Amino acid sequence: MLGRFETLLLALAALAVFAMGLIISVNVVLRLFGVSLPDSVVIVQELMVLAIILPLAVVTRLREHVSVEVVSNLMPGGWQRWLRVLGWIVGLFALGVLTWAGTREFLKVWESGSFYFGDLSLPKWPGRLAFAVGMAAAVLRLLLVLKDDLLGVMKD
Amino acid sequence: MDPTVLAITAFSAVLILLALRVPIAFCLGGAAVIGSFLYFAFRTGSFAPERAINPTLSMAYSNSFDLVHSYNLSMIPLFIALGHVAYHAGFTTNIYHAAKVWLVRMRGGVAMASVVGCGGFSAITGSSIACASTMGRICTPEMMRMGYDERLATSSVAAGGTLGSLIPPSVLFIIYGIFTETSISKLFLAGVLPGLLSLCGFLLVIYVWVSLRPEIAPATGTSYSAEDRRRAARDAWPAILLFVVIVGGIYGGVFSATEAAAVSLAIATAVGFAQRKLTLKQMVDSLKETCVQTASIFIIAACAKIFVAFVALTGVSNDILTLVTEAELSVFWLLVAIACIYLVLGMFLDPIGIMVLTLPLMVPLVESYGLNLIWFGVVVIKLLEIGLITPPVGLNVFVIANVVGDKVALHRIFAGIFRFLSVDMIVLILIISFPTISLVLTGG
Repeated sequence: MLGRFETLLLALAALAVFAMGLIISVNVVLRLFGVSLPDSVVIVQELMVLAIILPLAVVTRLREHVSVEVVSNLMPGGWQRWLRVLGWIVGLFALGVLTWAGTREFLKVWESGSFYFGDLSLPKWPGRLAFAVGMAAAVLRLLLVLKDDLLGVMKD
Repeated sequence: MDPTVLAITAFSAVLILLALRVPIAFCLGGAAVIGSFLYFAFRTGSFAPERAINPTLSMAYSNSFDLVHSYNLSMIPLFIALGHVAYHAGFTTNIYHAAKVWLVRMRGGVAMASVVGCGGFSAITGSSIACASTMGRICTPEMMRMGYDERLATSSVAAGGTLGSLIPPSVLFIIYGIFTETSISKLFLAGVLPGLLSLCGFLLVIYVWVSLRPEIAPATGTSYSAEDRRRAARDAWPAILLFVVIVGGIYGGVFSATEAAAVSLAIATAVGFAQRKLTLKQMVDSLKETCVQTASIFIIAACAKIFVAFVALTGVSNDILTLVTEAELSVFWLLVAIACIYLVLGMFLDPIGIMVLTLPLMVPLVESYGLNLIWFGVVVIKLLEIGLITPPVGLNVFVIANVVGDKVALHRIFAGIFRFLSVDMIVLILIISFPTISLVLTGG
């Protein structure tokens, strides 16, 4: 279930990258004619949140978070597995706080109906929602990865 | 709680957690959140946690969200996507093939072609490790099959891969630009000549090495006709066009760096589809790979931004500044100290981790000495580039070691690397001694 949801989030992120490239390129071409797409900067900013935060759960599932392994590689295998568990616990704390903060901010802008000043008066909530959802999905995946690694450590 | 003590404790905690293999983003984010919480909780003297929750959450959110909610930084996913698209469409490997066809008659020509190929690959993808990994799979096995010495076959690609950090577009320059609030377009232009200088230096190393020890690169006996050479050069045009669009567009003031990223991605996609070298599936895969790679970079940068805000809160940068000012360190010794710090860190940490950890402290220091931050960026990136091939943990060397498996021992790759490292040090000294090399294209 979470796997499917993550795949959907990754697809949305990929679409966001494509859309960003398209919008900026079209704007460059339109500049030749002295016009530009309305609120393109705000749209690209909102798409950036989708492109960056939504794939975080997949990054966690693939264990693609960058870490320094030079010291830990010198340790015995059992210790290394515990260190992996420690990493996920610290991650749960860090991303958990960001999920909390992101959800709080989303609810604030949703309730206030905040919007960006510009031609289209675009609402502020979509980027905030993407931030909260992406972070929450990453936290859920971290819990699953932590469970798997803890079970592995227990078996040993 | 004394803010300076708090900052030093947080820095120490980050270093300990990093050593314990905790992902960089989580170390920085965790330490910054706890540090900020304690700072706000103890602000009035007594411990008042209820007063710390709101400012801590606001600080964590605003710094991380503002970083990702950025128009200018959209160039990172776009440049990364360009690298993937160019790779799938075969543009990056065409440069290597063209260089090989032109240089194969020379002794060591394939090794030289590998370095040129790495330079060309870097000019599109902007990532050293991706460059070493991709070119290593193509060039190293080919050189070993031709009877090249294993040290030359591996170290030339490991060293050539580092060019991705200096030759624009470079992800490291973009991250440096974020944390120092300097112009990324100017950083790109500043990296061009030092990057080309490094490339020429590497070619010189191969030339001298092979001239002194001809047996390490046997003559291949392969020759190509003039028509083959012309065709190979023609096949490399998309890569050359992309480089011209990126550097020429920025230098000519036609585009911002962000626009250059988008336009070059659009051109690469259009050419790839027009030449039938890029399929829709490859395009989708490229975008997905881009997202995973970008997210893993940005989560570090986002957590680092929170950490930087926390460091600013404690004012520890000013304390260090006062300390250095009181020590009356000359510019020369300051640079020597900075170079030593980066070289030592480069032996153990990855480049992004080093930058996000050190820049909050280094930048105020460098600014107080009136040094140019664009030039300093080139120096830092060159130092990080050197770190990628410095033992015991030269990341690029490990990438190549993974590619060749157990055919070549790690110490044999490092044995070849020392020659390239010595040229890197000379280039570094030149960049430091003559800032014009970096600044001439920026107009600064």
